Amino acid sequence: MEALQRRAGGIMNKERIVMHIDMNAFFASVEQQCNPALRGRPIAVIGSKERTVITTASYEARAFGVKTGMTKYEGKKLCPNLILVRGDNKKYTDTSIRIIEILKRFTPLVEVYSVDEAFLDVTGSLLLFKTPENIASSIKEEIRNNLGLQCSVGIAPNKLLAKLASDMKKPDGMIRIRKEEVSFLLEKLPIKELWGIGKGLEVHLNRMGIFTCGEMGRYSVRSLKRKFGIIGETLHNMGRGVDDSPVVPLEEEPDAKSIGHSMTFDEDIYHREDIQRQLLLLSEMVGRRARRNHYLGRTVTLRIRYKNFSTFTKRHTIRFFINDTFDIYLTALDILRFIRLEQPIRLLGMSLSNLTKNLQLPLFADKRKKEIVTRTMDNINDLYGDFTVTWGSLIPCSKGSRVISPSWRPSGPKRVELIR
Amino acid sequence: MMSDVNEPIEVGAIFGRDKKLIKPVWFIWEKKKYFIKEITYIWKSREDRADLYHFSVTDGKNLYHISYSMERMIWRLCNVELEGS
Repeated sequence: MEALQRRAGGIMNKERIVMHIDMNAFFASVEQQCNPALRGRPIAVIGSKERTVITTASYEARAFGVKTGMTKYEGKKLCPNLILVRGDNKKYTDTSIRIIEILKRFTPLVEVYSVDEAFLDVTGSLLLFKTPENIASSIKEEIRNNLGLQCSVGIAPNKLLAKLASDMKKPDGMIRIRKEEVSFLLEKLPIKELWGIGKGLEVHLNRMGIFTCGEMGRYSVRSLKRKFGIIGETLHNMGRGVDDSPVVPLEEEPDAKSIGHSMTFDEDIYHREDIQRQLLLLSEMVGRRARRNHYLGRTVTLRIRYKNFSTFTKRHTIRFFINDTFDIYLTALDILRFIRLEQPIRLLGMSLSNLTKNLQLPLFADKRKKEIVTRTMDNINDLYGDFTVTWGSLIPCSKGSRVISPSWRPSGPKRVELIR
Repeated sequence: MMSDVNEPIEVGAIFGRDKKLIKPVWFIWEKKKYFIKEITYIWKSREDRADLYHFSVTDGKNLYHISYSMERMIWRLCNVELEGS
């Protein structure tokens, strides 16, 4: 991280050039590329489960108001000709890896923000490619020629403004925000347009009389800090278009803060034994990922979403660091014991946090035996696929995650291993 | 919607020098030979630590998803979308 801070500090003297690459309607565009019959038609990519939601809609479908997060029935209501396509995560993650390979031809400083977004620091690449616009055009061309996909590129002096720029023209856009244009551009821009200002934060800021970025940039830092704590100063800077955060390439990413998984069920579950079985499945998924990346954690968090979508979390911190499936499961059961379920459960999530990488060899023979058994199970599953050897009570369960996590990375500790 | 098939098939393919370039040309499924007019998309996944290459192909009429296991040297027809389905 020190190297990054030095780099960020060092380039403060000359104008940094940061790019934000946003793949347009990513999953839907990949499907339209796969199947020529879908090109130019309203499609929505959905999961394989009955109660799935729309993960991406093509631009043709968006014209009818179809949006990510809608149920397929809501989508069909808005657009009766909507074509539903079952998504394939492996297709999308492999495409993402190939896009990142293209981006790395222009700079080694590529930060993979999600499966369809990346930041590039191209300040040092200008000697080779002359102008940022040249780089952006070449990237767009390479992606289009190799994969048939379109992207929007935002070019600006920092990540905050680059993200804003890429959002300004979609699909297939290329917008550059220059340093001298920033204050004029932000003066009347609604704060919700800025990356990082969510609905909740917007409401709080509006209550303080802050509606535009210009107003946020002029607001006293002290007052913002008093209201929002440490992020008060960040908000003040965001209002002025200032963002010194470096572009962090994968190999320099900080360690993960938590490891988690969640599952939406085909049918709501209510009986304790069903919930316990799903908790064991989640414990295995979380535990296996923690073990694979050599993490142990002390805090287990459960996330429960009821039938009516109301959601809450409960956590429990224990004295020891754990990553064994059964230890995680027992801690989760301790949490569950104190929850009075009011409704059937639609979604269950679990995470392990308070992480360390300081593995300690078990002192006692029974612990050592348990670790050997777990390691052997993991080795078999690595070789023959996840859940080849698993807990007997998990046999009736539908196993694995079907969602690409926001923390997905092409490799390294944050990569989510897609189970199916 | 694609219909799942998941059956082994015979494929005529061109393999490049470094084994990374694979171009399926035709395949036989249910005793019928299909000539591939266009490979619309290629992607890769892992299966038991080995590379699995996926090809979305069309014979000009229907769309097929076929895969090739590098380790097992087996081609499969994964799923098919018939015209008008």
